[in-house]
Amino acid sequence: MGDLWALVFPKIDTHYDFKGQKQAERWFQIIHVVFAVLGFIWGYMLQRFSIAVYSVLAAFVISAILTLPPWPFFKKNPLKWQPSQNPYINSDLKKKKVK
Amino acid sequence: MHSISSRLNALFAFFLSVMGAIAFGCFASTFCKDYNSDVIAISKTDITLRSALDFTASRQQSDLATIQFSITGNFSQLFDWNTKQIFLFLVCEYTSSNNRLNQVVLWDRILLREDADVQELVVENVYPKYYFFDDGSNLRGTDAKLILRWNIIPNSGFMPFAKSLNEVQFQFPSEYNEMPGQHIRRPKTK
Repeated sequence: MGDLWALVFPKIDTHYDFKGQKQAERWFQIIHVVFAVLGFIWGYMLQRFSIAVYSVLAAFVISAILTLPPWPFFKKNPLKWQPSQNPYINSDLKKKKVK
Repeated sequence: MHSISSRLNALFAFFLSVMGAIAFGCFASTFCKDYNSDVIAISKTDITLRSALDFTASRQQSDLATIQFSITGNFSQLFDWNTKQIFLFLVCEYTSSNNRLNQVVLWDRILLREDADVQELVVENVYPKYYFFDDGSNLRGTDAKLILRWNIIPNSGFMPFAKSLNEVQFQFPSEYNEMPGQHIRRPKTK
């Protein structure tokens, strides 16, 4: 399945690098667990389960804003590729042609 | 996690797991609770006993009882955070020669969490909702009990049954109440 973002915003790259992916996952896990624990305690004190549910929903919205769009701080560690080389320089093909 | 759709998938799956965990926590916080209560009072105000043709079940001449009653009480202790609604029902229990235990539901009511009646339910001198036909004609002079029971419908977890600890014991009249001008067809055997 293609990325729908690419249809709408073809010039903006949605890829995170690997370090960024790990950070994004860690962020949304922490946000969800913290909001869930706080919401659970708050809901228990007021004896309303809806408070706990809304807290987890709020965590989802905040995490979505933080981790879904291609923010630049998740692209700080791009992979270091080797410089691209012209395949015809220093190869037998070129040498044969020169000769 | 390299594209928005895969990040959204991972995020949503974790969100659902966390939601399941708090639902389990809600269940764990209330599964041992005792929902019996002794602050609810029942009283019976009038009993009428007749003999009639049972059109609902056995199609025989059976005893038909009408019990007027009142219920007052405060249900707010039963509405913890795991209670969505309470299904109340008033049961008359007695023993007869046909059956070791008879239980007849006379009245029921659904109490929602946001009802104003939860704080102070007052059901004053009402007639039952459902017919009280005996399985036979054994109600004259029988001892019986009126018990208010309830079923808690939770947000997550089990649906416990509990009851009011205040039961009303009474005895049915020893003869039928005749309506003026009525011919009572007395049953052949008791």
